[in-house]
Amino acid sequence: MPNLPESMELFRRASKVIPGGIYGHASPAAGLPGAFPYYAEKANGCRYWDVDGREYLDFMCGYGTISLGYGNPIVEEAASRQRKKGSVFNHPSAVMPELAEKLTELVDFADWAVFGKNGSDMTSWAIQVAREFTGRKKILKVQGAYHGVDPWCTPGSGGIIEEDVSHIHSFPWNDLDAIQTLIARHRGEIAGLILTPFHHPAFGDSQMPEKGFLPKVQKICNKEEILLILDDIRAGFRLAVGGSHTVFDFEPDLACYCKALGNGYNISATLGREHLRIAATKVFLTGSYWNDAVSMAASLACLGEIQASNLPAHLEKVGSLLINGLSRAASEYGFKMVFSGPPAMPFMRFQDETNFFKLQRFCALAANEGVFLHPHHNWFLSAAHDELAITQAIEAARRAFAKLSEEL
Amino acid sequence: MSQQSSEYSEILCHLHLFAVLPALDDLLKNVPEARRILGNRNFTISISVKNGPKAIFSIGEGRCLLNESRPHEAGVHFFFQSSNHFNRLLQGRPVLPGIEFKTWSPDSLITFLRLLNLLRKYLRPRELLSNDANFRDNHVRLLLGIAFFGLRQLAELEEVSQRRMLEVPSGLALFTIDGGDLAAWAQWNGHHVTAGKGIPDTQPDVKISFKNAEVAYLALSERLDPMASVGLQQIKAEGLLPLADGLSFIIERIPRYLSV
Repeated sequence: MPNLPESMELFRRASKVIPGGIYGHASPAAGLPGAFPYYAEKANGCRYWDVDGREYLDFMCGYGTISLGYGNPIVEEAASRQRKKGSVFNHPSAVMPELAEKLTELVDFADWAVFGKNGSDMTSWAIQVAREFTGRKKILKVQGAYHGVDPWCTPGSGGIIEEDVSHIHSFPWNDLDAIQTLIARHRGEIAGLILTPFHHPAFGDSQMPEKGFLPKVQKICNKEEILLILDDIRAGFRLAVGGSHTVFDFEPDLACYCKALGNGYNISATLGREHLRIAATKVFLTGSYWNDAVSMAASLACLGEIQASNLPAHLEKVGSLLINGLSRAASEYGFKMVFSGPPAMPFMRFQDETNFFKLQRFCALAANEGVFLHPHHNWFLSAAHDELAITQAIEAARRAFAKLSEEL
Repeated sequence: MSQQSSEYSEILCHLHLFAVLPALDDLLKNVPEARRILGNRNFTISISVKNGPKAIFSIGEGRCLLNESRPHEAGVHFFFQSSNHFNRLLQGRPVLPGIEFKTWSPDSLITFLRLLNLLRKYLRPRELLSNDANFRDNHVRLLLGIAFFGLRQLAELEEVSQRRMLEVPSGLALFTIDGGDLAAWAQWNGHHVTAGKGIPDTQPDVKISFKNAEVAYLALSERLDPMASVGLQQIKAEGLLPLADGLSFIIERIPRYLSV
């Protein structure tokens, strides 16, 4: 397995001065300790290099924050132009209304936009808007869905008190009856229902919405005067230029976006309908760096490029090539793979296992062959992944499958 | 949870009865002094707490085996008026339980209390422990057993743990210490946790291995940064990690009740 002395040494230093060494989704504990690098040095296009100088074809794209490829020249140029003028001032820059105009032009149901820095900023703000608008307390969410790290939704347990989650109720994905049951139990008390366009839990298959599920959820919410909040943080602008709701034929009241927006520049947004404008003004929203003009300029350029290049179509194409190629390579060694979720952000597992041992070993071998595939999380593709990169990835994966086959 | 609350006392009582007292078995198996105290005696002790749990322990032939029912068939029967009353016994505080002898055998009673004192000695806080490596190994062995039997109690009784387990996938977890014979397993079937010591008969869904007994001790007693330790590979985790996370969440709560 790889020799990662620089990663390990940095981590040893880090573990003395940072709780956990590295925390959150990038923690070694969430990946493959000793097989995946811990620290990155640089990146370009669809490749990155770790601090030990090893090169990886990347299928995580900074956990989705890279939509066009690392160092995309159009985005970098826009960011650089704004950086020369300045990033954070006493006031927002002209790019803020321009970005809001762009987003409301792209997303059909939206009449206004607000900005934050991360997904959690927006999902937490959105449920507050729902509570402000309806005067109700309760929020419905999907079991096992990730909406960020704030107390009402964090998957962690430290520091959470009962009251943080006492008005949060969960239902299984695709289960309309469970939604109806919760509504009957709490009729007149539910402010909002938040969900992702498809269910993408860690450590599990992604689940697409059953036909008509999301339009029916919208209908129920409209009838019960519950705000429908789309958490499109992960999938937004990857499945459709106008937002993922257009793929599944429904319209939310509020939608939260983040990962694809800035191609590495930190920005998030919530978009909403006209009738929520006043409620939105009443929920205080700010942050030290939230008016950062560089990220907004980068986002504006990024969205322009997503639209001009029809990014979702490209991701669908290269994602399908990857899935088909990996399936074929696996079958040459007697393995059968299961892919779930849209090709733009697939989740892969071995058909005959549920406990991840084989998948973890395969991903460790693939990393050693120079392809970064995550065993526990859906993958991401970007505009920088071309047919050559996919072919190289499949060849490397084939070598990993061959070694795995020898080991078993 | 307040240490004075009745829920706290009740959970602590279950931990004492079903996780700490069963550690007498490991004590007898691994500590010669315990076997000397027991000698060739063979007896049963039952413990019942008013409006609470009851159990019977068969002690003899170098073992202490727990049976969770039939408390009145024991040779010696302890009655406690409340969870707090029973907890005092395990905490080494003065306590006077009701005692009933089926057959008059004060020798059994004295042996049991001497074994209990020895167990407390091996479980005392780390700072007060002997530096003898064998003593420390046995300390970890006892802690591991208590952690796994305690896991089941918290999973069944503590609301926070119950809520956490609802999100945890079913499966079998194996915890081992590299280069040693210590191993414990826990199985979650979506409703109940079962646990035991040693290597299970079926393949685990997740394997957690500690680099050595010291790392295991520090991890079990929440004196180690677990995330950093995984990154440094002092703790290795493979397989269905959410299962290990859920079980570890509960194990890490045990020191909130039992301070060792």
